[in-house]
Amino acid sequence: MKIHKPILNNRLNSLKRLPVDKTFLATNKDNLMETIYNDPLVHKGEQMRSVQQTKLSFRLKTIPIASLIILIVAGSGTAMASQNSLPSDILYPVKLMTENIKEDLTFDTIKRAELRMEHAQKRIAEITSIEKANPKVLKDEKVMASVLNNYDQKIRASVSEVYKTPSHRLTTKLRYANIDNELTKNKATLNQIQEGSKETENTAIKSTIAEIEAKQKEYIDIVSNKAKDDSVAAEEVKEIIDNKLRYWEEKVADNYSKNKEDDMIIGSAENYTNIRTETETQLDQQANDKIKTYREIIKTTDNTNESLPAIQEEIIDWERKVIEVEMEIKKYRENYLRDDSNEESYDQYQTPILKEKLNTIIESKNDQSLEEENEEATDEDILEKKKSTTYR
Amino acid sequence: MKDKQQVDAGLLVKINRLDPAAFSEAYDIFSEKIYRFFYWRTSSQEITEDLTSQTFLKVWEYIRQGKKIEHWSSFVYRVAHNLLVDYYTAGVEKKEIELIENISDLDNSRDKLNDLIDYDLNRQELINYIDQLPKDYREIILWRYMEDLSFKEISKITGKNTNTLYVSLHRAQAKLKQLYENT
Repeated sequence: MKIHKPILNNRLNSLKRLPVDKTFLATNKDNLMETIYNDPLVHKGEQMRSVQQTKLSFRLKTIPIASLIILIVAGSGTAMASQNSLPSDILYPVKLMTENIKEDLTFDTIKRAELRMEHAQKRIAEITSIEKANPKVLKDEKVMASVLNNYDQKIRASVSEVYKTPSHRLTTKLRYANIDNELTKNKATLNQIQEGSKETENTAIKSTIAEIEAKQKEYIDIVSNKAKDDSVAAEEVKEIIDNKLRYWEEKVADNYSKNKEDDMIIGSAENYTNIRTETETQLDQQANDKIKTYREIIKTTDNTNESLPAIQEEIIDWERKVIEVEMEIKKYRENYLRDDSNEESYDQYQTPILKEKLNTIIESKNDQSLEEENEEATDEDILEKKKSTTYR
Repeated sequence: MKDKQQVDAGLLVKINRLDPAAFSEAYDIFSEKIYRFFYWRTSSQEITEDLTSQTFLKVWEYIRQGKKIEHWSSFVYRVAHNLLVDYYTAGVEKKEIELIENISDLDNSRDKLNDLIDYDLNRQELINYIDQLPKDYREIILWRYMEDLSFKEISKITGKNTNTLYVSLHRAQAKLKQLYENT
């Protein structure tokens, strides 16, 4: 038998499309990714953070039982009365303690961070009201140092919480814009006090404030960097989702045109049409709908939105299902084509007109198929099977 | 289908930075090729699965040591190639004991391969001829057509000069043609 070079090349090229066991590849991927996600090196960044955190977070493990008892014994009366106290008042320590207890009893980390932020704001508010009511206190090193340190502590704890929480889980209060805004406002207030203390040449308070300002700058940097990182990550996720969606779009479109071709070839072979189960058409329709909604969601989301990871998971789930269905359909088709009792349905292609039609379709198909991917093997193979039947 | 076929430079940078999402994407692009690579050469589904998963683990192991991959496809194929060589060398020692078992195994897996090939007579015919080629010719045909690699890439993996490769591909094609014509 003579074989021309282009035909040989065509056949050689067809080797690329040998089908593979996709179920295995999918499970293997799951296993591989599990190993990778559990790789400590992948979490290197987070580990570095957690060292910082252990330094910063000191609270939850040691809820002071004594303070719980005091809270109960002292009852809400004193505690309530203390809420409006200023740093110079006798009840002020009670205020700080109730605040701490409140924080300790808030188990939702995000809410706790919010609460700390609020309490820190209170410190600043206290300083401004002291300035009006009793400016002398501003010159008291001890009182000021405790207030300012408390302020710094709360902000620090809050920021460290923000740092380890993914952006999309943060509430508006803990977002970069808000924190930046608040801290800048606080800085202005602190500056005023610093200027005020110039007159008395109280260097201790000045230096404390300067220190806190430097730290604040660092906190803002931490929060802004995190926001940037997260939005970069979100962009990447978006890109990945977008690629996946495009893939599915093409695949669905491709399937659709192929089905049409199938219809042309098969004509009235009802049995075969039945094979293209409802599930398949349903899957296509569903896929189109889903792709539309996903695209809309992606357009409107940013890094603060929770939907991206959710979409990603959904798509992965979806893919797995489709692959399963594909395998099923493939098996079904193979069985059908193998089944001798269905031989009759081929006979109708033996009429010259149909034969010609079929061959032209196959030819155009073959040209296309050079550029096509392995995924289409299912339909393609059926066509090729038919081709070999007509040749004989 | 314009789906991503290559691991491009951008993705490779991310992979070198140990980005799991990028690695997963690369797996999607490449796993089928590696699977075929092993399936064709071992004719055993079990071994193929084992070696395929080992390949990707090895690649991951390599980048997590802080080393950088410069060219994804030739690197991954080289890892696969080495694993296959290891597999064959390890196999030689056991060969005598498992000889009888192996024969039946091979028969079975050939059947499976045939199943997968989907009754495509043309393709099957071709595969039979490729099987009859001398080892060097068979390899070049597989690298070039099955794995769809450029001569440069094949040269990186096998360490052979591109000119030599070009010549042997040409001879392999001629030989194939001859095999067709003799029947």
